[in-house]
Amino acid sequence: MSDVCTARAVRKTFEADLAPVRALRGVDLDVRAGEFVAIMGPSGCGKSTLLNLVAGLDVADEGEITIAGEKVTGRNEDELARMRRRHIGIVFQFFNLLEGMTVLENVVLPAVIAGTKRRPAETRARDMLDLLGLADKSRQLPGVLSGGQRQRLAIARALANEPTMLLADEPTGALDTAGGHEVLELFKRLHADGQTILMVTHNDEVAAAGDRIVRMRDGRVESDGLSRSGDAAPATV
Amino acid sequence: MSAVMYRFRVAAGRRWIAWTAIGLLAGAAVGVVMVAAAGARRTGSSLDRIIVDERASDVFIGPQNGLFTPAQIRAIKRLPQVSESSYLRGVVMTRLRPDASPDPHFAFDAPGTVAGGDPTAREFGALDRPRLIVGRLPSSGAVNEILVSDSAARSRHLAAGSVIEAGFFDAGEFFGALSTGKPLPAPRRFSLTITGIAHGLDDATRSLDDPRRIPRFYLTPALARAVSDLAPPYEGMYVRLRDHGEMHAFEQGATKIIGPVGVSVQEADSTLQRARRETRPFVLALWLFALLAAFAATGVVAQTSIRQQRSEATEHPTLRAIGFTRREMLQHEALRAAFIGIVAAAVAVVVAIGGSLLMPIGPLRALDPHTGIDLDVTVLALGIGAAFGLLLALHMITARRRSTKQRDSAHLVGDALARAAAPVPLVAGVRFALDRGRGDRAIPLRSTLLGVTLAIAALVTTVVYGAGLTHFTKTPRLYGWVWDFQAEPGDGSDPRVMDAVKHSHSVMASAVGYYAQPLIDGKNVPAIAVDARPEVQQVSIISGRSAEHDNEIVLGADSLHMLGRHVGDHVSVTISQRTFPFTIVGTSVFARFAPYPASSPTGLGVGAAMTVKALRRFGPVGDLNAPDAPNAGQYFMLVKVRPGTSMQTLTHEVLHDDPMVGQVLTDQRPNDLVSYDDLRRTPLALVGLLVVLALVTTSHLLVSAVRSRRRDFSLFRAIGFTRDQLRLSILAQATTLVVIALVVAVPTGVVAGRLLWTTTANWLGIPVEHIVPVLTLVAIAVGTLAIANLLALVPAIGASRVRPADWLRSE
Repeated sequence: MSDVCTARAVRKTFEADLAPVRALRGVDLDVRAGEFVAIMGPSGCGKSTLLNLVAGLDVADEGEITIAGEKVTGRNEDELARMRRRHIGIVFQFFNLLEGMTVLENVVLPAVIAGTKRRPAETRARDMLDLLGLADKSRQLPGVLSGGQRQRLAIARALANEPTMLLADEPTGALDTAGGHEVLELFKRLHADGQTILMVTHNDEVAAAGDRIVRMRDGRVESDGLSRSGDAAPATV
Repeated sequence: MSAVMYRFRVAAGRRWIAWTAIGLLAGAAVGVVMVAAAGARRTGSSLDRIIVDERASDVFIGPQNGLFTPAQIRAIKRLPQVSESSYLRGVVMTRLRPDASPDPHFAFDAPGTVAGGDPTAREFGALDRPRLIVGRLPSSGAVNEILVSDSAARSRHLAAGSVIEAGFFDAGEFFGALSTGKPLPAPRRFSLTITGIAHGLDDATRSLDDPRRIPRFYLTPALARAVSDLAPPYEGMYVRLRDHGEMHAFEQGATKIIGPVGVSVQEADSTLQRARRETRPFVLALWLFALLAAFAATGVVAQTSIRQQRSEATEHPTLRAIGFTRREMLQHEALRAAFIGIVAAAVAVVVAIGGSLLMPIGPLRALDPHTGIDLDVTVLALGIGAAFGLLLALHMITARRRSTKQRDSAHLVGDALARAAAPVPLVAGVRFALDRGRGDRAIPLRSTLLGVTLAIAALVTTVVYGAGLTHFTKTPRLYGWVWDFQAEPGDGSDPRVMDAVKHSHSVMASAVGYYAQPLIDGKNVPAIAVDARPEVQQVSIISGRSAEHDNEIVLGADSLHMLGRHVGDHVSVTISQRTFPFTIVGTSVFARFAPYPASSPTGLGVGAAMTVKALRRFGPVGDLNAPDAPNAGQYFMLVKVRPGTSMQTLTHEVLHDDPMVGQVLTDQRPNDLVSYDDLRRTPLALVGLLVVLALVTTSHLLVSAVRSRRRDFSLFRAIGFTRDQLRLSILAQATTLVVIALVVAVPTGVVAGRLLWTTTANWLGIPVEHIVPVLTLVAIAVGTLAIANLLALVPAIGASRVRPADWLRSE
C-alpha cells in the first residue's frame, strides 16, 4: 500500500514568556492507505501539534509533510484550506460544531465548500446522518444532541467530502464511557471500510482500537509498532 | 450555490434579528448625520429661496424730502436698468382708544406711522412680498382687513383675528398738530380685522430687542385707495434691476430724475448680507454637529458591529478547519456587511426624511417657502455610500485582524501595583481593565475606550467652547460695548439730549457720535464717527489703534475681509457724493449702531469708525436739513456714568421720562449675538447624545467583560477571594477605564475647545479670550467616575454571585 501521509524531520517551536517550547524535535512518520494509526503520549509530548501540522492548521518550522503526495509544507493558508477540502477530515475533542446551523447544514457545508452542488450535498449528508444514526435529528440544532451524538455529527461532517485521511484529536476525551464506545465503534467501522485514520489520544485503551500505535515523548517519536490488542474493543474509555 | 452564499443564507436565517438590530442602530446614527448635513446645506441655501419667493427687490428708493410726482414715478419705471418696480405709499395710521381719541404712539415710538400700501396694485404686494406665518392674507378688495408684521404683532400685542379701531390722517395735518401742540384733526375711521401676521427679511435678521425693528402694517389695495386722498408721510418704490451690477447707473439715473429734493436709497444688499451673516453660525453649527455625530456614529457602529462579529467569530477556526479560505471568509463578511448596510440605508433614509422636517433652522426658517419634507439626494448618496464603506471596512479589517496573531500586552500598571503591594482587588481590577482577552473571551476594549474617550473629550470641548461663548455673550466689552449707556434724540438732531447729558450729575464722561452710511471702495459699510476721549473710547480696538486723524478709519474684521484690505492699506470713502482717501489704522469689534428703523446696523466684525472731524469732511454733521449733510447725520451720546447709576436714573435726568425727547439704550448687543446665544443649545444636545452613548457603551463593556471572565472570577473565588473583593475588583476595573479616558480626554477636550473658540472668535472678528471652567471640569471628572462605578455595580453584584463550581467544572 502507498503512503497517504509522510512526515520527515518535522520541527516546531512555540514562543513562550519564559523560554521557547520545542514541541516537535524532528519527527518522522508514514501513514499508509487504510491504516488506523493512534498517536499516543503524555500531555505536552507534541502529538496534537503533529496532528495540527498534518492538517495544515499550523505551519512547521522545519521538515516536510505530504498528504496523498501533495506537500503540506510551504503552502499559504488558502492553499492549505483547499487541500483540506480534498484530503482531510478533522474530528476535535470538543466537537467544534457550528452551533448556529442545523445538524444537516453542519454536514452539507463542507461539501458545498468543496464545490458540490447543494442538492447532491444534502442527499449525501442525509445518507451520512442515516448511517451514523442521526437522521431524525437532521433539522435540529447541535445544542440538543448528547455528547456521543455531537461527536458522531462531527465525524459525519469530517467525512462529508470522503477525505483521504480522517484526523481525530482526542475524539473520546470529552465523552462519557457510552459515548466513547459509540465513537470508537464508528471509527472501527470506517477503518474496516478502508478509511485511513490518524488519531491522537493519551489513553492506552483508546489507542488499542488502532492497528498501529506511535508513541511520542518530548517532541520525538519514541516507538512505532503494531497495536498489541489488534482490533479488540477497549473495556473502558 | 457557492459555499459563501450557502453559509451566508444559513447564517442570515439564524442571525437576521441581530444583524437587523445593528442595521437599525447604524441607520439611525447615519440618519442623524445626514439630517445635520442636509440641514446645513438647506439652511445655507434658505436665503436664495426666500429671495425668489419674496420677489426681493434690489433697492428701495424715494425722495429724501417731499413726495414723488407722477412723472417721476413713470420716469423711474422707464429707466433701462429697471426690471420691475412696486410703488409704496405711506399713510399716517393710529389706533383709536375706546374714547375715540387717537394714540399717537401706536405705530411707532416716535409719533407717526409706517402703514403702507399700493393703491394701484392688482395683487397684494408685487415686490418684497411679506411671508405669511399666521392666519391668511387679506382680500385685496376688502377695506376692513389688514395684515401686520410679526414685529408689530409682538410690540403692539396684536393677534390674527383681532380687530383694531384705526384712524387715518393727512400727514401734513397730523405732524403739524403735533409740532404746534394743537389737537389732532378728526381721523378717517376704519374698523380693521387683522387677518394674518407676516414676517419680512429685515425683521427676521434683527433680534427682538433691536430698537430699529419696524412694526409694519400692510394695507390692502382697496384700503390704500380709500385713504389715497390723504397726504402721505413718505413714498417710495421697490425696484428690481435687470442686473444687480447696474446699481450705480440706476442710482445716478434716479438721482437725475428726482433731483432737487435728494434721493433716499436703501439697498437690499445690506439686509441680505445681514441675513447671510446670521445664517452662517447655524450652518457652521450643523456642519460641526454632523462631523461630531459622524464620529459618534462611527464609534457606535464600530462597537456594535465588532461585538457582533466577535460573537460569531467563535466559529471561524472550525470553518477554517473544514476548508473555508481567507477570501471566502472575507466574502462572507462582505455579504453580512451588505445585509446590515441595506437595513442601515433604509433606516437612514427614513430618519433623513423625517429629520428634514426640522430643517432649515435659524432666523430665516419662518420665511423659507420650503420647510417641509426634503430629500437631499447628494447627502443621501454620500451618507449611504459612507455607511456602506464604513461597514464593509469594519468587517474586512476585523476579519483580517482575527486571522493574525495578537501579541500579549504587558500590563505595566497592574504589574507595578502588584510590586507595590497594592490591594489584590485593585491589582486584579486594573489588570482586567487592560486585558482585552482572547478568542471567545475577547472584549472590544480599545473601541469602547475610544468611544468613551471621544464622548468625554467632546463633552469637555463643548464645555470649554460654551464657556468661551458664554463669556463672550455676557461681556459687553468683547462685543464692542465699551460704554455704560447710549442716549439719542427722538428726531435725530434735537440738541436737548446733548445738553442734558453734558449737564447730568450722573454722567462721568461722554462723547458725541454720529451715524454714517458710507460706500467704502464702492461697498456699503455701516459706520459711526466718534471722537475718543480719555474716559470714553471711540470703539473697542482688537488690533492697531483708534482713528485719530481725519484721514484714518478703523474697520471690523468682516468688513475688512469683504473689502480685501489689511491694516495699513488705503480705501476710498464716499458719503453724499464726496470721496476721500482713508488709511486703515486698526480693526475693531462693533456693538449695534443704526441710525433709523430698517437701516443696516454695525455688529461684531461689520462696521467702520472714524473721527467726527473726518465725517465733517463730507458735509455738516448734526443737521439733517442741510442739503449737503452726510447721510443720516443723526447724533448719539456715548456715556460713562458714576457707579450705581441705573438706566432709569439716566432716563429721568436726560429725557425727563419723555419718550418724545429721545431714548436711553443700555448695551446694544449685535443682532448676530442672539443667534450665538441660541447656538449654545446645539452643542448641549450633542453632548447629551454623546454622554448617553458613552454610558451605554461603558455599561455594555463592563457587562461583557464580566460575562467573558466568569471563569476567572470563579478561579479567584476558588483561591479565596471574598464577594466584596470581587466586587471591588470590578469597580477598580471601571475606575481604571474611566481614569484612562479622562487622562486623555480632558486635556484633548480643553485644547480642542480652546482651538475651536479661537477659530470662531477670529471668524467673528472679536477679541480672543479663553475661559477654562475648572470647577465644571472637576465636576465632569468626578461625575464620570461616580457614574461609571454606579454602572459597574450591577455587573459587580452579578459577578459576586457566580458559583465557582459551575464554571470550573465546565473548564
